[in-house]
Amino acid sequence: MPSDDSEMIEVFIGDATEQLEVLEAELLNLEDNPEDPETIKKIFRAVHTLKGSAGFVDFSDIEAFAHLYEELLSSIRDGKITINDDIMEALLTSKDIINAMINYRVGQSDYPDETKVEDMKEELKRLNSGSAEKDPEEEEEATTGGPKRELFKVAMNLRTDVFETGTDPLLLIDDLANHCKILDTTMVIKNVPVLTKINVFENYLSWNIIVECTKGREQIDDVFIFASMDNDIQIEKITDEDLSEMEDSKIGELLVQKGYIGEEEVEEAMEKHKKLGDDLVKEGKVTRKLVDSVAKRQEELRKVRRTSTLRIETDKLDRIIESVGEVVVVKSRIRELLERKGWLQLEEEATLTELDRYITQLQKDVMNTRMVPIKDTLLPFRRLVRDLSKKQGKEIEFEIKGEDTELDKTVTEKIKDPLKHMLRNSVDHGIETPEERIAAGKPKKGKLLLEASHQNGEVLIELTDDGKGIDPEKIKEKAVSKGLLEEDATLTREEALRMIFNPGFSTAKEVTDVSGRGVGMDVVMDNINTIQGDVEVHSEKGEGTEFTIHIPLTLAIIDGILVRVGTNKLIIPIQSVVSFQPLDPKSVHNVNNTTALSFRGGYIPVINLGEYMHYQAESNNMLVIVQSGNKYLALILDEVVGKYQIVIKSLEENFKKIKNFAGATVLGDGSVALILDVKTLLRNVKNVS
Amino acid sequence: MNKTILIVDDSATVRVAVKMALKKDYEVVDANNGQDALNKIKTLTAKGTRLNLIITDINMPKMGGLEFIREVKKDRKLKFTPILVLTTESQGSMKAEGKKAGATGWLVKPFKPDQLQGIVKKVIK
Repeated sequence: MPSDDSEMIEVFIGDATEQLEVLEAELLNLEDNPEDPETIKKIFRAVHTLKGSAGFVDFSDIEAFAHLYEELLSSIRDGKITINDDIMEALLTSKDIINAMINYRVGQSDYPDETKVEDMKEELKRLNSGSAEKDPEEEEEATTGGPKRELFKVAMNLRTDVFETGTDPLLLIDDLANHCKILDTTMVIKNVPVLTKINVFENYLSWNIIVECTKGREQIDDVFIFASMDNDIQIEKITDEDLSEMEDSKIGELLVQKGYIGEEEVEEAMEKHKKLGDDLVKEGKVTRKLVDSVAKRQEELRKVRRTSTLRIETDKLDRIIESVGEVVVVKSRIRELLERKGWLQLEEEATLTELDRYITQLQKDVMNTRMVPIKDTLLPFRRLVRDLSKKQGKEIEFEIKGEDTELDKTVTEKIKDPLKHMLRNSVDHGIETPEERIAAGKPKKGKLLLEASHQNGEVLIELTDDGKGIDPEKIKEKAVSKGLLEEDATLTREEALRMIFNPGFSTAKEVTDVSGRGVGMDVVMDNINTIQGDVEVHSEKGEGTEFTIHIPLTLAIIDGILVRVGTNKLIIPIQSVVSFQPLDPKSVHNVNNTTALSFRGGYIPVINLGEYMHYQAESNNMLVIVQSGNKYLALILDEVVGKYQIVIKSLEENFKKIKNFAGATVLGDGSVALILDVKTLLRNVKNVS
Repeated sequence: MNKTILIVDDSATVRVAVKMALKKDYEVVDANNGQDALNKIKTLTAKGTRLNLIITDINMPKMGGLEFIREVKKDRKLKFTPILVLTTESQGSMKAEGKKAGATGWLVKPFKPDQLQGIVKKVIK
């Protein structure tokens, strides 16, 4: 059935995308923490699942590639290969190749270059076989012909309820003895409770066993393949030196383990000793990285909240939001009709108020369903920063904070590109090379922090680096040379820094995917502006730069004030409105041939909306002061009608983009009002100083 | 009434593949991992639905297949419910482990719909 096939493929794509996301995140974790067995397991599982799934949709190329990938991972997991830079690079590139193979299936990218795929396959094979060749003991075996003798330490820590799963520790040890020669066994009895508290159905014992094997580690793995699924079984290769060292320290160890020494004595002894963790590390029982990674994982586990979830197509949610929006409009309309006919009495008013309450609640709930953690948007940047810094020989410690901050799904989609370009700029131009940093007396490794948070009903995303900073003087020079600024212009520090967002300031005109110099910050600003957001920049020369992006929580419903110019109705988003008042003609002046209003001790530009928009104005006796960033503008118009909650309709989707308008909305009486785009208005108005 | 089959796999692709192959003749319920499956079983039991077959993957997050099988075998009502283990060739030894844990049989991934239908028919009588 072809319909089944296409459904299967769709499911597979979703499935694979999810696995790839896990894969990438865990690969980056692995790079930071190459010995963490949990991370390796997760990576292995993701690739394993991918391979298995690909088989069901007959994507044999993906299956074959994932197979080689899995083989290499399995060698890493089994400790046959130690991770190095080459392997890390291969693991990441392989992920990209599979990603491209999948994107090709959905028409999102070209098929990955065939030679690149083949080369990578060879590389995966080489890396996997390389380790075996390098194993000196195996070579020894080949030359001497005798059996290879290896020592292992097996720490068998069984769960209390191990008997319930049908595992018998004694059988395990017997089985082990069948395969290898047992040199020494220590039973750890420190967890055995007092006699009255012993439950015969529970296990309190663990064992440390030293074995000598001739057929490698797999033999031991096979014995514990069953038990190691839910018990902590650690198999570790040791040397003869380790063994003799162990014999030396054994007496003390035995005394403690067998319970001949009490808690007090242990504590006393401990004080004379270094910390227990250090001892464990020193004794080779655990590695330092393992201790750290266990602590880290515990922390992660605490974060995991168990919630039941349901996946919904975004389209469906959008339709619900739209309907809720329409309900808001109809409700306003009912109120208006009742009022016009003189029927709005106490009872009607009370009922409408009740309806209002429910609508507000509904709106809030529906909006909430669209809220997603910003995590999925931010986490992929780890890879971007890693790749970019590698390429440029920079060392960067990249940290992401507040990844659980929630915001509207559509907003997250729209901030992805601008953020990517800002990060790229920070790596390209912000953070210096290790040599430059050392010369400047800074730590060799640069810091880059991406932090999201909620503040005053908006989302803040801050990007901070400790790089070379932006020099306002240089910005001014460049602006002058590009003809964007008069030579004798006086700018505050802030204003100078803001020049970087001016169109025509940066060399690159468009946002490009190629790592080029000077990706247009004006494009970044434009993108952020389309979601009613703003970017602020602070920078200290030599110390670093901080970009703060302000974005609204949601784009779908906003509060606005309705104003009128002649018969034209306009909405001004409420967050842009500073104040409104009747126009006092005496407060308007002519400064440098521009109309200006004295405001808070200075002058701000004035626009007569009627003239500006070519509307037929009537009285022109109302003044609304609006703000964007730290710039102000006074608008002259006929009337402020009132405050409205409006549903934004995109002009681009329903008609076409119109300059100076951010969208349109339908009012209670069914008429259409355009929403003023204050930021663009302000940008097109000449400054009055 | 249709017989009910539970498919446990962390891959949505496998779950859908099993559903598609079996939905004509059976009621198919799915779960992401062992833990999820145990919860589903609880809900089904509460509703009075009896499971006729469990199909499970081995390598899954949260709770893997072997542990899941052992949990199922502890439940007296489910003791005799047949369990099929899904493995891949790279996990050859897992077949034995599955058997040891209490599985009735296995199927190597990827399988064709008729292969699955065949083995399911054999196991459910």
